[in-house]
Order: sequence, then structure tokens, then C-alpha cells
Amino acid sequence: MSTDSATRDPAPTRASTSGRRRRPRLRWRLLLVTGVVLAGIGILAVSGLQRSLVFYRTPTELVQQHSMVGDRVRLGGLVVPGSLRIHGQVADFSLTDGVTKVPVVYRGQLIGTFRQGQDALVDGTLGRDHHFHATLLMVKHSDSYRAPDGSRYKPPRIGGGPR
Amino acid sequence: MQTQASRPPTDADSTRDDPAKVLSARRRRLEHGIGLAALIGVAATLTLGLAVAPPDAVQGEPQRLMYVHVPAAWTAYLSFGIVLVASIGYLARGDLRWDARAQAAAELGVGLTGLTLVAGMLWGRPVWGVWWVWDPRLVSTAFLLLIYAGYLGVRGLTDDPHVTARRAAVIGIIGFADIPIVHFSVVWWRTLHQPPTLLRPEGSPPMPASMLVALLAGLVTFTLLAGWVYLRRLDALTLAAAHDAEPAEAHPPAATVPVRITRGGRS
Repeated sequence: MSTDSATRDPAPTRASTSGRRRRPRLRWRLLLVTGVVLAGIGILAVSGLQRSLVFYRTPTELVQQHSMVGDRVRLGGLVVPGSLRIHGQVADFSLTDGVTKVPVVYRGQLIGTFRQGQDALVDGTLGRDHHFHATLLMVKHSDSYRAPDGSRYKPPRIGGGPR
Repeated sequence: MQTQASRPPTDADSTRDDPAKVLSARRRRLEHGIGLAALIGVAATLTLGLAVAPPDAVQGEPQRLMYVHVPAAWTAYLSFGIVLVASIGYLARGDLRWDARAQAAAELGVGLTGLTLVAGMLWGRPVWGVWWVWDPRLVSTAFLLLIYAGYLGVRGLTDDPHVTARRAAVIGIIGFADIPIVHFSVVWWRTLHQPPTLLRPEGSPPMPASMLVALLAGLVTFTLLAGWVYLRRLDALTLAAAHDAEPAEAHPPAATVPVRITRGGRS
């Protein structure tokens, strides 16, 4: 038999000369992978814990915790219909959670999806004047979708009957 | 088997890499079938998503990115589910074919998670007002990407395929724990990202029928596309493994290696 394991290369597609180069490169790669993953986890952890474990506060929470005056926080709530006033670059409106209203002053462009009666998040500080001075405005849209004519999906009701 | 030892490679060598020899006809027919169905699905989804479904009353045209973002996320979860099953399969059987299945699925999943994040950012910028926030949904999804990128990163750090497979399998199994966290993050914690529309605790999705149909088409299409990519990638991995395993005298390395390893010395 001509098959002779002694002379057979165990990894035929990897030429043996690359074995010596491979080990230091593998170590660098392991370090790189570990470093990137740890750095990534670190960034995620730091950003997550940066302000607090809660992504935003409700108006009631904001008002109740007096120690928050002057701190940079995020506030989320429903934009009170009828509360929007725009003076040039400055927009005034109120956010509510159904219990407490907080007046917000936002200096900047209002994004097109911003609507009264819809949710919004603001990032900024609560001033001593009890107005929230927002530096960033984010619109939070709900999980429902509507066509421009307002139609929604109505699932078929099993057994018929009035809706 | 000494006759082929020192001759230069000819066209006949290419038949050894011919997929037909490694894959069965049934497998190829399956792949062609899935590929064709996926193409039809792409056409259907594009038509439904761009033309038939209306723009959202509040969000406008950017909402159409939902037909990419949601299916990509769903297919990513599915891929990582396959990684979980295949990782368990490898640890239980020790068969490297399970490891290949896990690897192909992880590669697919990482790509899809990246796509989910990119589509999400493109959707978020005009609708939320920001490209990114560090809210629990986005953070846990970024974490998911990181975990499975790590899964792929630990591969090939050693020449022993079983050591690699074992390390990867452990990561593949533990990493899956992030998926329920990603999904429920919008329910458990306060987020900018909205709660789920399709898989709500309450039941029926609040969405016009035409949007729902487009979304379902997207889900099916992405699943088919992912299936096709997965099978093709698995073929490539299987081929590479078969190539590595063959004895050197019977199949001298293909032309890419400049140094010809000859067996002419034995005679």
C-alpha cells in the first residue's frame, strides 16, 4: 500500500511554513476580539447607567423629586393638546402623565412627527422656575399604525355579531 | 496513488471542487426552489411595501422601513435559534457538521442584526428625531450583535476544530439568553422604542390590512432569503471541510499555493 501516514501531511491545505507565523497572529486576534467585546460591553454598560437605570422619568416623578432640579434628565409624557405655543425658534408645550403636567421649553426645530396628543421625550434640565428646559426632543410613536384615511386592521370576529 | 504527485494542476482538478460531487441533486433542487421562491417574495414585498401599503398617518413614508426592519429582526432571532440548537447538537454529538450549521447560522444572524440596526436608524432619524438612543431595546440589540460577533471571533483561534467548536457552542448557547431580553425590553422597561405591534400581549395588531399583508410578505421573504443564504453557506463550509479532510496524495492542493508539496520523494 502506498498510503503512508508517516509522510502524510495532517493539514494538507495549510502549508507547514505558515504554522510559525500563525501563533503570534492568533494571539493578537484573540486579544483584539476580547478587547473589542469588552470595550463594547463597557460602552453599553456606561451608557446605560449614565443617568439612571430608568430611561426617562414621568412628570409626576420629576416633580416629586425636588433633588432633580438642575440635573440632566429625560422626561417623557403626552403632549397636552392645546398647550403648544411657538415663538420663533422656541416652542412651549406641556407634557403630562395624566396626573401631573410639566411645562417644557424647547429651543430648536420641531420634527414633523411631533403632534399634540402624542407622546414625546425630552432631554434637558428642570429649572428652578419649574419649567423643563429641553435640549433634545424625541417623538415617541405608539405601536399602532394608521393609513392616512385612518383605517386600521379589524380582525374578523369569530362567530359574527356587532363590533 | 503516486501518479498525480508532481504534475501541474489541470482543468480536471476543478471537478474535485464541483459542488455536484459533494451535494446531492435533491439538495440542489431544494436550494433552487427556495431561491426562486425568495425572488418571487422579494418582488411581492417590494410591490406591497412600496406601492400597495399606505404611508403611516403619523410617521409618513419612513414607516415603510418597517417592512425591512421587522423581518430582519425576526430572521435574526430565527438564525440565533438555529445557532442554539446546532450548538447543543454539537455538544451532544461531537459531530462537526453541527458546528458548521451553527457557524453558518451565526454569520447570517450577525448580518441580519446589523441590518436591523441600520434600518432602525434610518427609520428612527426622521420619526423619532434621533439616529440612536441608549434605551434598553437598542442597547440589548447592540449587545446581541456584539455577542455573536464574539461567537464568530473566537473561531479559528486554534487549529483544532473541536476546541473551536466547543468554545463557540458555549457562547452560542449562553448568548441566546439575550433574545428574550431584546424582545421584552420594550415591555419590561421604559424605552423610546415602541412596544411590539405584532406580538402584543393584548393580541390583534393595530395596523391597516394592507400594511399587515406587506409585513407578512416581508417576513416570509426574509425567511426564504435567509434559508437560501444559509444553505449556500453551509454548502461552502461543508465543501471546505471535505477538502481539508481528504488525503494529500490523492488531491494535491489547488493552484493557489505557490509551493508545490510533492510526494515524488517516495518511490
